Amino acid sequence: MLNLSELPQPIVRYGVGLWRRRWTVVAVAWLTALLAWFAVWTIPDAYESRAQVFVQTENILEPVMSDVTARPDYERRVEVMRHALLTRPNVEEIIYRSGMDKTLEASSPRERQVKMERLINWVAGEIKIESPQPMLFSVTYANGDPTLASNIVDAVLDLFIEQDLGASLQENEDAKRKLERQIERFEERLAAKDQEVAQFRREHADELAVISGNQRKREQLEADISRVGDQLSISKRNVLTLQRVLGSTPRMTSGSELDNLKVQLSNLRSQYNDNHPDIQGIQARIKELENPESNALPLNPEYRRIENELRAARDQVAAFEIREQRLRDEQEALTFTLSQAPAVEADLQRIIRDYEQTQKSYDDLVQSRDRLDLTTVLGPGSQGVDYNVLERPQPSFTPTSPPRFLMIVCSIVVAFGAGAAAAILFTFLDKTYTQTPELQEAFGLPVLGGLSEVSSVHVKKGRRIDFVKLGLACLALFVIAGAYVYWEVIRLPSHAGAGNDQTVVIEFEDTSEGHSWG
Amino acid sequence: MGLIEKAIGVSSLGDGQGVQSPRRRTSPSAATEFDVDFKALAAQGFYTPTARSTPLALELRAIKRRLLRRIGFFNRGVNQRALQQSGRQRNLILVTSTRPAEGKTFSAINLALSLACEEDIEVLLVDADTPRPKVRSHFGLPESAGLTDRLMDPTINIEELATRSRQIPLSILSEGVNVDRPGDLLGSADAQRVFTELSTARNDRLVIVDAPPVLATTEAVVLARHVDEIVFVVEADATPEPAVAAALDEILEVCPNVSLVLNRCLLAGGGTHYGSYERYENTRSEAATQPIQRVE
Repeated sequence: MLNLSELPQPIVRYGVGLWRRRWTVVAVAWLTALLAWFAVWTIPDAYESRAQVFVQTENILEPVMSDVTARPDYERRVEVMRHALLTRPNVEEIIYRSGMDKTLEASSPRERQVKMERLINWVAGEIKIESPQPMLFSVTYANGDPTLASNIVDAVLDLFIEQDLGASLQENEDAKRKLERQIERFEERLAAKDQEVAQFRREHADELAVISGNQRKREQLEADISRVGDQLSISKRNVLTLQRVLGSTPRMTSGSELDNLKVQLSNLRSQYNDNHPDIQGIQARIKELENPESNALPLNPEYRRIENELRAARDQVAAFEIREQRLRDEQEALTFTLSQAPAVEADLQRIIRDYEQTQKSYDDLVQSRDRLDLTTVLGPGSQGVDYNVLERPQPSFTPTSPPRFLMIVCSIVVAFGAGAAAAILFTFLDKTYTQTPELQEAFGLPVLGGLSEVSSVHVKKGRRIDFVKLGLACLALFVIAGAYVYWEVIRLPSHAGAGNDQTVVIEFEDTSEGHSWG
Repeated sequence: MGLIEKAIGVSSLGDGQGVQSPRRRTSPSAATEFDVDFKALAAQGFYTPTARSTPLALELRAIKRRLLRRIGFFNRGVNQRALQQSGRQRNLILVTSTRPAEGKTFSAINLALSLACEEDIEVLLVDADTPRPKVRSHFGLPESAGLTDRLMDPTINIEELATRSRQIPLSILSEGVNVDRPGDLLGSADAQRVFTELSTARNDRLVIVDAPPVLATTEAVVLARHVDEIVFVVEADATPEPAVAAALDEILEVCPNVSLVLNRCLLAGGGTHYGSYERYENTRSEAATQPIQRVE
């Protein structure tokens, strides 16, 4: 079981002090609460007016811009727009348009100027421009006069649309400018690359010329080689044909003598055997005739002709073969030479590739710009920005500020807090004894003990009455708080709902008094 | 209960008769007697023998035991010679406080009742607060001759002025007639004699003197000269430290034996240890009765 008297000494001390000074707590709470409520009562009502506008800009940039550059920060642009809207001349204009300047009372122009200046600063700080969603803006302003608040918001809204401040939020121009800049840069780069290629060509003109000459030569050689090869094969085939023809051609002209001799021989063979002298004579004669070394017979002219032809063809083959060989040698030499100088060529290739890449990017950019131009011409953006006013400002009939209910409730809490604080402060300042150890410490004399409070019938009754009084005092405070809440917070709207005209009259009276006592 | 207390009181009286001086024998018969109205006392918030485990009873028990230990009451047999030599019995206790209405009378009466009822100690409660005598009214006693009468007329036997309770060993000596300058009267050599008389009359009796506040009158300091022990009542969360310091300065000058009591504490917390013992007694008695019930 928790024994309260065994809690740490300071806790007991302040707890007991708080209880002993319960009436101090209640009294201070009452005083504080009444003061706080009076303060709440003196705060004038403020009526908030609000407008909402949706700024419609083309969003075609999205696809175009996405691959070019990062989009600029939206919030920053909103901030810039807000500043652009709430410049001094603008706020002055707003004040004039809303008729707020009529509330200024000044005896001299100078005083009026000063007051106007203050008013401008104040109003500029009071106008709230927020963008809860991209391109959606809400303008709010609170004033004691609901109509004035509404007028101010109206003026802000008008000015916003008139000055086309939504355009500053537009990305189109910005994007186009960026594209142009990009294109320019790429143009420069392209020119530089061009220059580079030319320079390179100029610097390595000799090598490049040699290389290109050799290449041409090699190509020619290759063509020559193939042509020579063709010719060679034709010649070879020609030789073979001639050889075949020559084989079938008789070498000698067939003389009548030989023929006759052969006929005689065959006749004689039919009559005689081969040992017949005639046959042997004829055979010897034939043999003699048929012997090529002996020029006994005239040579066949056809044979001689073919033989000559064949010889010529063979010569030709040999000549071709020699030529082909020579060409191949030459080609080999050329290939070797070409393989000796590749660096210059490779460099050139690289530069050219680079150049081509740049050119491609440049072409893409130019294409983007063309597309952008086209869409700007076609799209709604060509007419500027659309302002879609979602909510026009309206004079409000219920005060939005101050939060009276919250303030009243907080007042009570603060009041009791102040009471407790006062009691604790008194306890702190008070040099008395709550528990026996304190007494012992204070004088060093023996302490016999502590006696609780008397619990006689009379005291008990008194205590009960005290409790009831305490409860009633607190209850009364809460009841008053409740009544005040009813009076200030709950009652007013029902009153306002009674009738519009009547309400306006009441509002007028209110503003003249500066309070909301209908 | 009252009967038992009475019986105990009578028996202790009987013991005393055998040992003590013959003067005592006459005192009960000579003194008037009264009935202690415990109901009325309870209604006023005082200690009663029926409420043995109330916080008040427990706190009183703690204070009482310490007080008795301080004055060496239980060792009086051992120290008797030394005490008699000094002419003091160490049984005169003065209850005072800094300012009026801090609970002097309340503490004095409670202490006397507690001592008489629980410890069977013979107690004489003297109301020396002549400007504002309250003891009598608390007990519902009529106005009678008392302390000041004896001081003005030395022929009166002071023991005969005291009113004796029939139930408990408690006697009450009222303040007596109202005098103009009680300080002078109380500071006289005769007063000194009277208090020594009260002290030495019975060494097993405690004399509790309810004195006026220190800072309000001069009597308290004057009375402090005559007594052996001062119980100084401080009101919790009310008596300021400088006042207590000033009052203590004054009385410490005349009587070094000062002990403090903190009155009207919201959270006294002194008697909790005695409380546990009380609970122990109760549980034991319950335990004792239970087996009997089971047998039945």
